[in-house]
Amino acid sequence: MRIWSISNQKGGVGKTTSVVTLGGLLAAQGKRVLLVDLDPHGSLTSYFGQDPDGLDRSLYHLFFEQRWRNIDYIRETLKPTSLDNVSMLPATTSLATLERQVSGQDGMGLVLARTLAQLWDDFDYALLDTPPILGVLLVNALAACQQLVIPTQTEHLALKGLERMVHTLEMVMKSQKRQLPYCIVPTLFDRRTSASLTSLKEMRRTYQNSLWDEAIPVDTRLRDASHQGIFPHQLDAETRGVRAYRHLLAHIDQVAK
Amino acid sequence: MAENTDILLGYFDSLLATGGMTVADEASDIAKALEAIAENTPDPEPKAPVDNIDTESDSVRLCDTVQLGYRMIPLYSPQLQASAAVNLITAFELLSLSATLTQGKVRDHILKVCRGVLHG
Repeated sequence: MRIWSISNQKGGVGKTTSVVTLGGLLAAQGKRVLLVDLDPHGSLTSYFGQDPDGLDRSLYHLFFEQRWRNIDYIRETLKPTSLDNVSMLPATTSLATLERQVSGQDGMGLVLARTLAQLWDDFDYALLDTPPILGVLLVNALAACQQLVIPTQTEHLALKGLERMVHTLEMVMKSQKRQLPYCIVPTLFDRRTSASLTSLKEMRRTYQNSLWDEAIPVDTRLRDASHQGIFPHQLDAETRGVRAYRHLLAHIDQVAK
Repeated sequence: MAENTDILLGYFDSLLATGGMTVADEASDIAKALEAIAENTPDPEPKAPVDNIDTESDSVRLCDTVQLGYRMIPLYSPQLQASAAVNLITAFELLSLSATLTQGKVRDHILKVCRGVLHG
């Protein structure tokens, strides 16, 4: 299993869209894919028609009573998506209380790594959709993944979020005593606006070694797909957003190897 | 800034703590437990599985070993998990299976294989 975390400590940068689109494109290549929703808002969970307020079990429950050890329990927690070879580990809003509930307990940043180790043979890829806030859930994702993808909106405030994300990553790597490769992905790029062009230029100047040299453009078809609860390539395999994500997938696959 | 960083580092260290155990520590504990089990396992005559069902104490120890073993998985960096974790999971599943078997060549062989994985 290869585990990629799609993370940024800023919201609205395209994390969930990236997870869904990349997951769908991997599935189209015949890969078995697990999408993991670590965000208490449950955007990914809602995307596929599940109610984060109404589910009986979710990632939240794996943190208690050592349920990450029980592979049958984990498998029964998974939900289907609009593709047979893509499953989802959903979020519930109760995840928002996790920080308080695990307070003071050592090792709670490793629950997701242990859970995914149990599912190692079930999937070829796991893509993690993380919350836009530093906490136990984001740390779980960083500790479990082998590759970090940082979607960053091409606008000034997003650059500050990127700075914080890279700083967090450096500290987690120091704590885990390992290197974690990361790839910064400019998103919501609109070449008609000076804000997009200026931000992209700034990103290239500051992060030239880790920055993907293309950008994900603004594309309303991606939003249309989310309204229908299907993967963007199922709606339109050749829309410019999907084409850009296809290039990104090839790039990450190459870098990760 | 420096104080902020220290606070955050303490937070990460706590969340990512593995109870002070390293891979070597855990492997050593498990290997010792397995050796103790093997020492107490007489070189068996071929027996039908139903001939000897008095394995309760060994079963308890094996289950403990399996529980202990699972703790090793996250100690490996995820880059190594693809091979290391799969081997470990397989070994622990075999240990679980061996706990259900009566003493005999099959069970003895499984224990030897598992010991090899954990030493490796």
